[in-house]
Amino acid sequence: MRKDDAQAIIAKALALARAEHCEVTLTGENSASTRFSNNAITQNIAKTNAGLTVLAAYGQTKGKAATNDFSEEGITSCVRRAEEIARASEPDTEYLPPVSQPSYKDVKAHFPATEAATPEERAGAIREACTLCEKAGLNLAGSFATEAGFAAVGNSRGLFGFWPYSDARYISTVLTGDSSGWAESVSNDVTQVNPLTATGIAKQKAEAARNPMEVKPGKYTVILEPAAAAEMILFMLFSMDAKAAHEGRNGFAGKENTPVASPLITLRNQADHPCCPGAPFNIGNWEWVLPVTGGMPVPDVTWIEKGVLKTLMYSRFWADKTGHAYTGMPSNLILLGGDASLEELVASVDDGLLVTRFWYIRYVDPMTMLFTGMTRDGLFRIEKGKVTHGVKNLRFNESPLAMLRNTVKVGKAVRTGIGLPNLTPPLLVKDFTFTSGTSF
Amino acid sequence: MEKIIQDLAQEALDATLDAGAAYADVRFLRMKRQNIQAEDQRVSGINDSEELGFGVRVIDKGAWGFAGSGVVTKDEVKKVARQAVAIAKASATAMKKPVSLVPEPKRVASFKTPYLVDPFTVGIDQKVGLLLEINRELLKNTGVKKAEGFMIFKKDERLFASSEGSLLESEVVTSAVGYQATAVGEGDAKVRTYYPPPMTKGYEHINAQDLLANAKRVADQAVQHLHAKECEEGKKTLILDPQNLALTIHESVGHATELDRVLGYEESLAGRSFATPDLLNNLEYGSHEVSFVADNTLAHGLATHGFDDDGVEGQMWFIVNEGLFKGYSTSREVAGEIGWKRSTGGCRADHWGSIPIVRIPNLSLAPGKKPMSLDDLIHDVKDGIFIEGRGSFSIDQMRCNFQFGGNAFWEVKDGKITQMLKNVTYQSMTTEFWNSCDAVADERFWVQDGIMNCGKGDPVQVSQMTHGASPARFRNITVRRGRA
Repeated sequence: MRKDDAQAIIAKALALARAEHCEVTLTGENSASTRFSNNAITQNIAKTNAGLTVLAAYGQTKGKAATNDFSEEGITSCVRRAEEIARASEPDTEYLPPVSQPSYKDVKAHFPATEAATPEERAGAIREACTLCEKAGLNLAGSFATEAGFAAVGNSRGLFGFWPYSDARYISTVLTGDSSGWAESVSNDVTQVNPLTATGIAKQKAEAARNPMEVKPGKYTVILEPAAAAEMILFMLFSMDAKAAHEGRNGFAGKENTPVASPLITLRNQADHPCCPGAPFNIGNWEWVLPVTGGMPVPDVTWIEKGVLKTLMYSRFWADKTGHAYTGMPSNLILLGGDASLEELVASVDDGLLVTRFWYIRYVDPMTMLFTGMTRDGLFRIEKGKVTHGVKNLRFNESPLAMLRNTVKVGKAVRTGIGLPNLTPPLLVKDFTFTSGTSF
Repeated sequence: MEKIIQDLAQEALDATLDAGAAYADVRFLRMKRQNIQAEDQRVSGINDSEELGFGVRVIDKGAWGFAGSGVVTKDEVKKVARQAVAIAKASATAMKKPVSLVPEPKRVASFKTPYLVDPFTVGIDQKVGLLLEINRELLKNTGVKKAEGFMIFKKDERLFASSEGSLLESEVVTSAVGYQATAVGEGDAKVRTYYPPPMTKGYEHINAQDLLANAKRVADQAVQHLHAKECEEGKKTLILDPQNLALTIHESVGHATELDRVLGYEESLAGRSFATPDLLNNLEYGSHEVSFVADNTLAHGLATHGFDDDGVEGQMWFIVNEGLFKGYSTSREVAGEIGWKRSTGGCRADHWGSIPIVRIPNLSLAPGKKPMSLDDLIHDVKDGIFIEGRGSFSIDQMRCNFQFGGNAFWEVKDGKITQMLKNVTYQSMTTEFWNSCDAVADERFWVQDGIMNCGKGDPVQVSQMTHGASPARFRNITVRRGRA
């Protein structure tokens, strides 16, 4: 949908609105994904959809309705439903009226080549990757997904915002009989995604991990590759609601403006970062993490600076109540990296483990931010500065804060496809706690 | 669904066959959702959505293609149908062997969840009023610092038509409600939940009297949990309640026996499984006490939809019978790959724009055959823990090593519950765990719980299914303190 079309639909909804306040969100996507396993395409899909969400409010009593029917009748019905719900409901004492037009960052995230990507192009890249693995007697699985979409917001105070974006991600898992390796390639511009290079890395990992040895659970010096570190950071982000912290309900209670990590750690967001652009305004898709007001610009925030927690996530309500600057929820994440390559990090470890990625991370204890999860698709022994052997996977029970406190080196940051758009470096971490092993 | 939808379905099928498809099905889905959340004395969230769309799935040149759209017009239907065929042709260029579907009789049928009150006809004021009243009850305990409640309602109207001549319609209504109290102390916070099992029922499932009657207990136990004794680590006997077992069954049996992941189709996201076909009828998955029954005909089951998105009717079968590994959840595509003549009917999509994939069925631990109560299970325990409700959960991608928590933990000493514990996790390997089960309570104690947010697939799809169980006892399980 073009900007003009989106603006017209939003204007139509706002013109129909009778409530005291009205906020409208319109999103749309053309997405496609080709999935493969056992060296062949197994699933190949495309989807076109758009959705309109209307929030109507009388005073602090609100109602929200959504539809994908953009006919006159469909839009009218959606607006009326939101209003009826608001009329019948009770107040949300944390609701704040819509904001007036802010200025938004110009975030370039839409690339025509991604929007134009075809199933034939994806299949061609996958064929090449499958051939590479098949010739080596290996088994390849993964997916190649492309998406082009937009987010638009408007409200009864005249605000309007429109942001087009595109995404492309190729992921590959290569399997031998007793080991596996994983790698990905991610960009907003599909021409920058390199399936064959990623497959090559996954293949090299799988082959190096053959005949994995068992190691005893315990505390290890680990190198967490970017995908592993990014997943820990993403789950940590879910605990950064300032309100919950101030009410003593999450692991960041009492930690603002105190050291929580190694001085090597700086975590920030910047929506217009050219290497991992994020949405310039909130549209409410992470509302389960933090309440958002549609159309609020996403400010640049430094969350952790040289190890000190500078701020938590403040919703508009909580920022007003506490007199703190609004942060909202970030739309991307940048964990500042250093100059060291992964190989240089490995060379600096005398005895440790190299973790390609994690799987199934979940909270064990929100108050101490204890997480559990498994290593996956490439766990290696490091001895005297060299990767020497594949290792059977391990379960960890560890806190991301302990991970960040015990970080002694950071490598070069790269884009990962884990959660929010992010740049994450590999981390060299001491005393990472593994508690049990598995059979492969 | 309306006649015009049926006509559009036929247009889609005709367009795919004109474009050369060997097989096609089209699925229209009208999805209504209502989610209401209350935090303390405010309505923190209230969302109501409705959408209609369709997905066209085809096999051409032996390969799958799928396309979906939310624009429901004749022109769009034809365009999307042709798009699905073009995608299949692209798939065929990287194909190992042609897709083959095991036979399923064509049928014209309909299914409707039996319900009394359509939840979408019940006033918002009634729903919000109940959630706020529950929260008021929870907050009467001054140790409770946060009260949160929710209601979820779903209504899916589906029309499935295939080139084989099947025409199937369904209307599935799901209702769920729950709440939790959080007690906060010095450097700690503990939550106690009350989540009645979600079911495919109407608003009659929302039992206000029961919800309010449990509020004081839940609030008191949240505070009790905060001051509970730290768990001692070691090997212990566990007695797990049906709601805790629902998640253990889901992760270590349900996902492990989805045939698509066993065959590697799910490798790139959720992983594979240790439960390979050579182990069928050979592997002692659990002890003799353990039988897992799959039943997609179960009354009010979350996966009871009449038929799946392959057009296969709901069935009942054993996944594990008296400990022995017996079966899988399948689609028509993967059933044939291990020589099965018919799919068990587990192929479902979460959205009109999602391609159907193999999902966990309604999968339950059969009740014990001998008379056995929860008290009987506890009576025979010298040093153990009785665990209620759900907490942390994690399992490896082959479905072997898992670690679970719970919502309330009770120390058992010499056959009696002595006090509440906190920060308990248990860790085991799937077959070791189920083989350590030495007793399951009888059918009087069987509870039909379920999962509303099962994630699988790439792109990820979210599905629902029932997991029933009676309380069961497990010997010699590793217990760890779940606190950093």
